[in-house]
Amino acid sequence: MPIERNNDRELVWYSSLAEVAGIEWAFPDGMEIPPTQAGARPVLEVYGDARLTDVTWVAADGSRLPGGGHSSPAEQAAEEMFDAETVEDVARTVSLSLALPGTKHDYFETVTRALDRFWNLKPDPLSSGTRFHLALLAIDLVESGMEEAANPPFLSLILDSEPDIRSVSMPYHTLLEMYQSEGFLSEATRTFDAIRGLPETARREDRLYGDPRELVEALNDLCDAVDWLE
Amino acid sequence: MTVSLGRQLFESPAEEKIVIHRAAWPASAIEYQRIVSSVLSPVLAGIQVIDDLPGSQEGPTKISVRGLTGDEAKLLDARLPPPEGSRNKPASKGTHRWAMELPRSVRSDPRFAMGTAARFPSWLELADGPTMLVVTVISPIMNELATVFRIREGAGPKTLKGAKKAVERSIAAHRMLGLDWRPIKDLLDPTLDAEAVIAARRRLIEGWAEPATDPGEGAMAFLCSRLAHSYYGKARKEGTAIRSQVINSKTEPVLLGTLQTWDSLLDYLGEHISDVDSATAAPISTRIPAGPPPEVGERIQLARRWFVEVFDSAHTSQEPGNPELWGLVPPSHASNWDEDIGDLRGEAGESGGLAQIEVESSEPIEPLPLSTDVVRSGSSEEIAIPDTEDASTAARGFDSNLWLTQLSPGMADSIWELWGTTVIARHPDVLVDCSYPEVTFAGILQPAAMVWEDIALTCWFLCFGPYSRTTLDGLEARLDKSLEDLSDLGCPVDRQVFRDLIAAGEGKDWLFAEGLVVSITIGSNVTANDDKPDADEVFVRLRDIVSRHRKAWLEASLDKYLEESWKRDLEQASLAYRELEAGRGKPPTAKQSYPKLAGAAKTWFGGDLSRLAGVLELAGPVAEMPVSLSDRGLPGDMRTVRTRVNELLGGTLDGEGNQRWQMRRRFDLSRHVDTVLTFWQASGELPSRPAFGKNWLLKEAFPDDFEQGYLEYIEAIRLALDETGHPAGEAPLAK
Repeated sequence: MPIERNNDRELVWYSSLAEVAGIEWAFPDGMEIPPTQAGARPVLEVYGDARLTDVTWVAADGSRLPGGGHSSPAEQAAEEMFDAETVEDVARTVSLSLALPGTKHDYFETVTRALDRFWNLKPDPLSSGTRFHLALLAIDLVESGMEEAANPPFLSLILDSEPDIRSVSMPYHTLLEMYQSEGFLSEATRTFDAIRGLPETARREDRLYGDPRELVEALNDLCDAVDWLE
Repeated sequence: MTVSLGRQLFESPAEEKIVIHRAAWPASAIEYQRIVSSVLSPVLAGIQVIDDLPGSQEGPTKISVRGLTGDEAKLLDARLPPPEGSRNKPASKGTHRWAMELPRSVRSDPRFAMGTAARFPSWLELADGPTMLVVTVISPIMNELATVFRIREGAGPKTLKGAKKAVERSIAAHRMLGLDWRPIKDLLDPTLDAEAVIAARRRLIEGWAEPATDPGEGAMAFLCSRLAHSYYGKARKEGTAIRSQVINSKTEPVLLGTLQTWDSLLDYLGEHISDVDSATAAPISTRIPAGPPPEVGERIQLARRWFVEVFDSAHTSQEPGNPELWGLVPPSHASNWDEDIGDLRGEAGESGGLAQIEVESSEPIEPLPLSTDVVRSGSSEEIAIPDTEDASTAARGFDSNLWLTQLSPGMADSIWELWGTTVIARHPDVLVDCSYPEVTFAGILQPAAMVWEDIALTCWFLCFGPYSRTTLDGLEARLDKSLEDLSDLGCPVDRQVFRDLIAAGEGKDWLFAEGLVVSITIGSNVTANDDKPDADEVFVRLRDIVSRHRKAWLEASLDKYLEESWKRDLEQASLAYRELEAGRGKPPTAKQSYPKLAGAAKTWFGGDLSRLAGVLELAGPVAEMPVSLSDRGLPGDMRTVRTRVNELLGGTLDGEGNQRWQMRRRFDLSRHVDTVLTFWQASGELPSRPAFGKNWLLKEAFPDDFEQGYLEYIEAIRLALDETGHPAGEAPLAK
């Protein structure tokens, strides 16, 4: 876990998601990373009253990455997601992004953006399985550091505000919705409780439709009511 | 007293129903039952049977059914003819396909089978007998079998009573199809973890592949027993029932998919025709006036003027370099005009890039507002016509405002005057404002305007791009159905026009090439066609051919076309009313008459049902009903109200993520403010939730509690109206 420092500012970044502690993710077999991106690293510049901290991503030779170095290689790769038209495109883009240097926030953004993208794609077995694993991965990222996952580095410092963690509940909701539509009520109940356990500012009550326990109760009543011809 | 077979079917347990069905099923339909089996068996076994046909991106999806022989398809075409569409649009039906896909998805993706099956209903074009079989038999049977999946995900009936009934019906369906139903009980066990759910649903679905009896026979027996259930729910002691009390919108498709006709159902059940049906079995005659009534005459005249002064004139004089004429014909179907992109009145001439976004809907779409402000002031209406000054610099693409800017002087006023009132089902005695008079007007113009527009636009787009929907030699085939419709009306288009166009285009390969026609736009209206240097000259040649044929058609057939148009509408309305009257044995009430008469009344009589009934010499309450014009006016600026309601609901077309559809549906709701306010115009109250209808929309917009959601919707409307000082904001909610 490399740390880039400048004065009292420090930025934690990773050469790939595989480096993030607590995350089970294997570097994809056979994936080749362009050397400029593989050796990329951030440089911190602190201005004025030190609230302005700029992150520039540079290649191994010190030159700025394309686009002025404003985005990490992971973030840049995730841009391709907008053009992804198939589940395979999304999966490939996610794999590449997570295999590149970036921050925990970059990886969280990649994964949640991919989850969003699936809504525009025709469902198939690959998309369901991929969505499920991505939702779990995003939750792991949240649980390894909620504020770090939800916010670009130094943003709250620049804005002089509390870190915004509203986005962290998104993968939980995806998981809950998948469990509910499959009728996996035990798992849905656990996920529902996990959402309820998030800090108040991270919860999206408006998206929390009904406790799965209510359905459990209704099914119990139904089982008792139906004439099972026995 | 002997008990009829039908009564036995109604009262016996599932396994005995099969035996009774076998005895009652007509010998002439045994081959049909065998075909049902041949389609249903692979669906149950998880084998793909239904394919979407390519080219279904626009409008309803067309499907094909695998494995049918030519003779089988013919038999289905004859037995299950698709219903007539409305005017030039084919009939279509929203159909849930997830249950039909479930046997496959459980096998291909055991863990996420429900997510893998189609989430949303498909809007299927009822193009042929095999599609009708899917819609009337295969889909309903699979939905019954798969009920437990919906209940387990919390999407089934909301009450215990309803859920119990649904599960017991599903068990009955399993028993009659000879399928193992016991895994249903396992699947309802709420304590199962994911692995146990996967195993239980696999057991259920794999059992579907091994029916103990003929599934076609079981399906017919199940559906016929549903009909028997409806029949004996309405039957008198001696066993007769009145057709119109048994056959409704729910049971009619079941009858169609099984025994086809009421008489066949009576034979099957071993019952006799009721006195009422017997008395009305005689052929029904209709009376329509020989010449057009004054109201009809006015409307015909305006449509005639539009064809000649607007449509023909614009296309005849269109020169290369002019703006294209896509959008010249008023919209004939409801579209979700994206008003929030900008003020069309202020952007006339630049609106070519505005997108027309079709409402994705599982229900018939109602007209949605166009960005034309109609301000009611006292009894007259001031119509704000977009500024046409910059029309010559129109950008490329569909111009949703073009039809309005190109009308002859005074024509817009006439359209608003003639079609500016309408009527709603719950208050057929009050005329209210019609927010979209151009849509009703456009109904008269079709299918003729569409045919001639398609021909003219194809010539234009083939020459100047960016792309054309078809090639010059593909045009006739593309329009074949509409051309046939015009022939049926006795107003055929001379198909020589297509041969003349092909001959004129000879040697220009790009007129016959599929795909994108590359062109480069320079400035506002200059197009460089590097690969088509003579496009201007070719266009003029094609235009003149089309103009010559169009003028000949207008000369020979326009009057006949318009005459057939009003006569057909009035004839259909009259027949529908008299059939209803005959089925009931007495005249229907005004509200019962509404579905039969409203279409023709809105098109030709400004929504006045009573006047139409008088013209058609119909007897009954609808003819005697006094009709008045509402004195409650809509807000002067409906767009502001809609936009504000949308803001308050948080609706958007651009949402992402899980809530994308919810936000989109809230946007759609904000476009239905007109529905709420026309109800208020008619009654002085805002509609109750049942009166508003559109439950599907409310459920998608407010998935956690749509009843509460409706109240939020009404509150948003009230707030938006209060902000404009409009009195409807104070109106009570109807009980």
